[in-house]
Order: sequence, then C-alpha cells, then structure tokens
Amino acid sequence: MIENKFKINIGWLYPELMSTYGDRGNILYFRRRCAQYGIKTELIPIDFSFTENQFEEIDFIFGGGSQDIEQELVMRDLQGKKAEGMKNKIENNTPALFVCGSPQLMGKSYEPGIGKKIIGLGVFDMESVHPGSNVARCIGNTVGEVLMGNIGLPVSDKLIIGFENHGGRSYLGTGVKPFAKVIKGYGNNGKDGYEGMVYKNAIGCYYHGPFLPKNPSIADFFIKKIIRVKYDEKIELKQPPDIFEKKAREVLLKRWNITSAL
Amino acid sequence: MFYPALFLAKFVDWCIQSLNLGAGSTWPGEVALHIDPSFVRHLAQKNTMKFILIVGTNGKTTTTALITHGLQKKGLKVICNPEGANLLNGVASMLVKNSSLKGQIVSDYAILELDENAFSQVISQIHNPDLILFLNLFRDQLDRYGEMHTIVKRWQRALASLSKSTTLIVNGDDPRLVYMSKQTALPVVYFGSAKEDKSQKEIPHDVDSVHCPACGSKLIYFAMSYSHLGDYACRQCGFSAPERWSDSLNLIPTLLGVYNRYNIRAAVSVLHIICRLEFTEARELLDGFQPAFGRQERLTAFRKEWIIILSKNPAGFNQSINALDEIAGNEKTDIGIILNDRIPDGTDVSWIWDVEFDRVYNHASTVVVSGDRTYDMAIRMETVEQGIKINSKLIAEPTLKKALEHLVDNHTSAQPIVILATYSGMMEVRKILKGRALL
Repeated sequence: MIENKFKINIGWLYPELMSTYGDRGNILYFRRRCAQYGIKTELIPIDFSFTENQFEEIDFIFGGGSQDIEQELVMRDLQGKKAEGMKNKIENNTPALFVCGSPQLMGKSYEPGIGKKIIGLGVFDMESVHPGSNVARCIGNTVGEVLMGNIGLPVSDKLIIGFENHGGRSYLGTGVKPFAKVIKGYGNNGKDGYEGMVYKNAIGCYYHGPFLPKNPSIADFFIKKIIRVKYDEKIELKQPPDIFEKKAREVLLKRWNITSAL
Repeated sequence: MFYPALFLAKFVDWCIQSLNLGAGSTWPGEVALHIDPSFVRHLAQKNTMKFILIVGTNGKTTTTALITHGLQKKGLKVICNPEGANLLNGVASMLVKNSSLKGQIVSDYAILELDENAFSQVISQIHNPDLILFLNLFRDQLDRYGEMHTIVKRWQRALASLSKSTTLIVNGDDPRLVYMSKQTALPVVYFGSAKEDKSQKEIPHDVDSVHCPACGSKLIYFAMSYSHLGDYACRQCGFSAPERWSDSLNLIPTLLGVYNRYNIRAAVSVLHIICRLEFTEARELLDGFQPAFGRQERLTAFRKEWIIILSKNPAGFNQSINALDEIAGNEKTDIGIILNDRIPDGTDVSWIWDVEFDRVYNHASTVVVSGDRTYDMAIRMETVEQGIKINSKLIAEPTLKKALEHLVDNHTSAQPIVILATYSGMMEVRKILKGRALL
C-alpha cells in the first residue's frame, strides 16, 4: 500500500448530460480501485459551472456518452476558452479516457445522419460520419486486443471486453494511433479492424458503459500513468485478487469461444 | 382478403393450441397480417368494441391488469393482449383468438399494452381509440428502442393522425410526455403523484430529461418522485407542469412503492373517464386486486415466503429498491438479484451502473447474485460509493437453482425473501419456485 501519498482529481465531463448508459460505472470503479491501492480521489464535474482555470487541478479526464440533444447542449458549452483549456490539458499529457460517444466530440468533426456537421474539439485527428438512419447501427458485445506499442505502458491483460452501440463511423488521421485491434465487434468504422484511438495519454473508444469494471488492467494502466505524469514517479501496483473480475471475463470469453492466448 | 386472413389465422391458432406448439401469442396475427396487411383495421371496423391503448416504459402490464380488474367489476367485458405480445402481430393474434369466424368479437373494451416502437404501427390501424394512456418514458434498452427523443417524435407523428374523439391520459409529472401532449389538439387529462410521494431531495442519477423539452434549458424541479418525474418549470420559456389530478388515495396493499402508485393513479384516471365516476369511487373498483405475475408477486416455496419484483431498467430497478422500504421496513431480509442478458432482458447490461444498488444493503443480510451475468452483477455490488461499508454477505452463484438454495439456507428473517430480476430471470425463478411448490 502507498497509503495517502497520492491523490487523483478526476474531471468528469458533464455527468448530468453525458452518462447515457452506465458510463458512471467507470468513475465508481476507478475510485474503488484507487482506494484499494490507498490512493485518494476527488471528483470534479467539468460542466456548465466549471471554468477553464480549474483545469489546473485536474489529473484525469473522463467522458461518457450522450444522446444527440444532450450532445448539442454540451457542445454549445464546451467552446472557446473552455475547449482550449481542455485541449491544452491533453497536449500536456494529462491522461484521459473517452468512451461511447465522447470520442466523436473529441475528434475534428462529426457529421450526424441528419443536420449540420458538428465541429469537435480536435483532440483526436479523426473524422466521424453517421451514414444515415437506414444503415444499421454497430451494436453488440465486443472484444479487442490492446496495441501495447501505441499506449506507452504495458497492461497486465491486453484483451479488452465491452459493448458498443454507435451509429457514427470514425476514420483516423495520421495524428492518432489506434487503441486496439478488433477481435469481436465492429470497431471504429466496421472496416479497418481497429478500435479506438490514442493521442499522447488520451484514449478514446466506442465501448460504452462500464469499460473499466470489465477491464481492471486498463484502470491500473491509467492509475500508473496518472501518477507518473502528476508526481513523476513510477509505481508498482499490487493487484487485488479480482475474483469476480476474472470470472466475469472468463465466462464471457468462453461464451464467445475466444481464448485469451491469441 | 380479410376473411381468408381470419380463417387461416384461426386455423393456425387452433393448430398451435391443440398441438401445444407455443408462440400462440404472435403467430396467428403474423399470418393474418401477411395476407391482409390492414387486418387489425378491418376487424376493428366490424365491431363496436372500444380501444384503450397503453404506452410507456414501465408499468404497462400492471396498469392493464388494474384497468381490467376495475372494468370487470363494473360488469364490462374486457379483452387484452398478453404481456410480451405487444407488437402489432400480438394485437392481431389476440383479436383473432377472441373473434368468431364471422369476425365478431363480444367485448366492450380491448386494452392493448404496446411496445414503444409498435405504437405508431397500431395507430395506423386503429384510427379512433377511445383513450390513450401515456405512463412514462425512461431510458430502456437503447440497443433496441433507440434514443428517447426519437421515440417521442414518432409518437407525436402518430398522434397527429387522430381525430378529437380520442382522449389522452398523460402522466403530468413527465415533462417530455406533457410537452408531446401539448403539441396535439386532443383532449388531455393529466395525473400526477401525490405530494407525499414527491420526497426526493436531489436529482437522481437515473434521470433522462432534466432539460426543457421545449427550449433545452435546464428544468427547475420543486419536488421529485423518482427519476425525472416531479413538479418542474422552465425559467427560460415558461414551460411547466400542467394542472394534474394528484389527491391522495387509499393504498392497495398488494402494490407497494411510488411507481405502483403511479400505475394506480393512471388506472383510476382511466376508470374515472370511462365509468364517469369520482376518483375515489374509481379507486374503490380496484379493491381486491392481485398483482400480475412477477410484479411484487408473493408466493410460498421451500417453506419460505417469497416476493418477486421484475426490475428491468434503471428507473424500474431503483423503484423496486425503493419499494423495499415499504415491503421489508426496517427489518433485514435476504435478497436475490438475477441479471440475464437475453433478448427480452436486453443484451446490454451496462445499465446496472445507473442503479443505486448501494441501497440494497440497507435491507439485506445476504445478497445472492445470479443469472447469465452473475459476475458483472457481483462487481457492481462490490463497487459501492466511497465511504459506504458493506455489512452484508455477498454470494455470486451462476446456477440459479443453487442461488435460490443459498437464499433459503441463509434466511432467518420474518420478512419474505426478495427476488429482483430482469425479465427472463423472473420467469425462470417463478418456474423453479412454482414447480417446487406443487410437489
């Protein structure tokens, strides 16, 4: 245990608007995991009342998904200095995790099925397009293999498990690297076989809902990253037994006939 | 093509019944609609029976059962579609079953509980329903239904096609539904929950629409009952909760919880209009009501009392957990949580993270989790808010029968064992408990 030596301030993007389907699970689980390692956490909502100078306090940014109307409200607020502040934060290596629909907002642009093209924050060099409501959404359980070389730190288990439900398709530019290889599911666009994107210490992926509870090794990865960026220290984490976590993964991989040794 | 459709559907129904094939609640209708795509419209036109349509995310089955109970007490003949058969083919099948070969149905009312997506389809065939009841709209199976404002838009388009002979009965505590009803020219009756049921202090996590459906600004809530239901107003555009019927009512002891009181109020509003009764008199028609299966259903098995509560989405689950206050009071009991991820449950179980499961521990000595997603549920139960201590035993057992045995073995409380389960889990638990009870 590294009792009380470290503290992580978690900035959660618009918790009221961007937590469509269990995204909160990531926050709850991440805080629990930190507590198990003796690391303190504080939750700071990045929402309407948040001002750009508060970014200074933030050590980790998390964003979940939202339905279209809520997304519009978010993008109306996440503008100007606030958007700049957030971009600088990522530029300065702050670890961040964007799941579900939020990576689309962090890209350069998003073209919805109907309506105007939305200009994103441009954190990720990526464009997203919704092919229209007559094209099937990408829905279903997912498995991927993290591309270790792209994320800059080893993870103890490189298989990621989740659930995707997105209409938009994302195409990566040269300024970002893919996060994982698709083993089961559609991935970014159903074509190139990649899932998610990485820029500096920010990771985005279409997996929605409880991504970290399903993939504790990614939670650990972020904890180590954050401590390294904030305190300039390399820490080793003594992994808890993770009895249920291991079982949950084992049961699902078995159901889908995926063996962990690929 | 109406009669050939009816004859063949009747024949299919007869085959299914006599050969015990199952799927009898959808196939005859499927066949009829295949031959005569306007089958439901044609059959409806041949009869004087009036239609009551029930729409909403939660409470359809219970409310249908309540209205049926009340109307039957009044000596009226009622037919309704079995739960789960709530698409157009289910409606058609039910009508086929109740129709003579001449296309005659002897009934005063047909009460149809409808799937969110099937509503427009059914309206296209039943042009002049007597009443349409809108119960609520919560986040549920986004993988199947899509986003909520898309659903409302579709409903709205369907409503635009109706004549003024249809009355809407709308939950006035639900801003989205109120806004939708205001866009129509139809007569509307609003109901809302009583003051004592609006005790929620802060906006809970499972909310879906704290923003004004008219202008998008944040709504101000003066009081909340649960999820996004309550007394609200928009400072920006002036949109606010309408005048609603919200007097206190006598409880129905077999239907506890705020969510059930909404169902009761909805049913009473319907009976008030149809039977032209005062609200209190309409409420009396519901005396002696027994819950629909799996909806706070009580039964005895393995020498224990059980209560089964279907809990299928965040709002529903939070309400089931809330109802534990009324069901178990201060005494702890043992609680089973069954999470499946089959088609009727929704294949995505992410929503469990939107439910306030921490509160289950207030009522549980032992929590047993089971189902297809036993371990996802176990992780959820282990991950409580910071600072909460778990003093209950947590058991994860994927085999349902064994899970129920754990509950029996651990149970010492005078309160019934409580099962909170998703749809298919609820069905399986009933099968095991009922099967055993017969021996």
